[in-house]
Amino acid sequence: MLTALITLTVGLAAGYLAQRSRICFIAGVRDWLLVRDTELLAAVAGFIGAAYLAFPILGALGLPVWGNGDPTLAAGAGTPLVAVLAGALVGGLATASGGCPLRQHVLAAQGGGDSWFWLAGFYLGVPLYYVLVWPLLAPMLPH
Amino acid sequence: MSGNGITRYTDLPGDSDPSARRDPAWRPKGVLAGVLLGVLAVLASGLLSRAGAPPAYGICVACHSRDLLAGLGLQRWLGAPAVDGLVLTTLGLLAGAALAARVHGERRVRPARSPVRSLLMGALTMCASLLALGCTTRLALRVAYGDPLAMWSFGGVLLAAAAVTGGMVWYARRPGAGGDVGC
Repeated sequence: MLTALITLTVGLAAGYLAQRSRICFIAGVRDWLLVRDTELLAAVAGFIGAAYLAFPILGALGLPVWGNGDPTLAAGAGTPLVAVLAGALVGGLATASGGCPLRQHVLAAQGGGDSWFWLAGFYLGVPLYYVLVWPLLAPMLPH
Repeated sequence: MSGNGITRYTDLPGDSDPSARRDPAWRPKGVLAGVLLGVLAVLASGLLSRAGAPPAYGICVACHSRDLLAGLGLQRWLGAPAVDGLVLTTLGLLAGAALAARVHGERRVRPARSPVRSLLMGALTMCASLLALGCTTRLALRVAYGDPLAMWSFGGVLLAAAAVTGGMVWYARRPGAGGDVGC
């Protein structure tokens, strides 16, 4: 119940903020390369910089920010090579789709029809990954 | 970079966002928006920690979608969710963004132009995100956290974003094209 409350509140705040700011984790690169607009690139830098400082600060204030075991690691990249290739795939697909996963949620909420289909695919991708992609991929990946 | 025929935000690929054309009342720009979202993500990481949350988990669109589905009964296939309880971040995102769009008059229903392509891109992006240890948002959060693997992943994200942007410009400028970087 507490988890639902926290995540819903955080999601609401993040969604509102993301809609107002048009923040997107790949559009910064795109806008800078295309029209030399650094606004969204600065947003990503601000995100990483603020989080970099917030982890130790909120941690020192008594918030347990450092986390526990991660199930994502059990079915994900284990070496730098796989990580950089998978990351490149995420970045390339998101750029070709016009926005990162966060941005696609915002575009869908604004009424973008394509983004609703994108999100449907995104959610279908979860069982696809765990049932088909990861079991096929895992034996081939370096550990 | 001028000279590529792209002069307005609305000319950019794939993102025909009506909000770009307006100057609404409240719009946190650039660094401020990133800072607010970054602090919120770390705060959420800490708040979710007692429910079992992994490191740098505060906001992740891919992992939170997975854990929502796992919490809703797909556990058998997806494994146990990372935290106890339902993870509603993505629903919150949709509701929050819809609220903001409505309040500021930026909600505009546009029918899908390429549903099959979008569906496919979404599914592939989810698979790639789970392999890369998170969506772009959580990868950035992991970089701030100090996760070396995520730094590789996020480096890949930025390089590929640059490469695909370059590819789209090249495609739009090919002989016979009208300079339309649509996708």
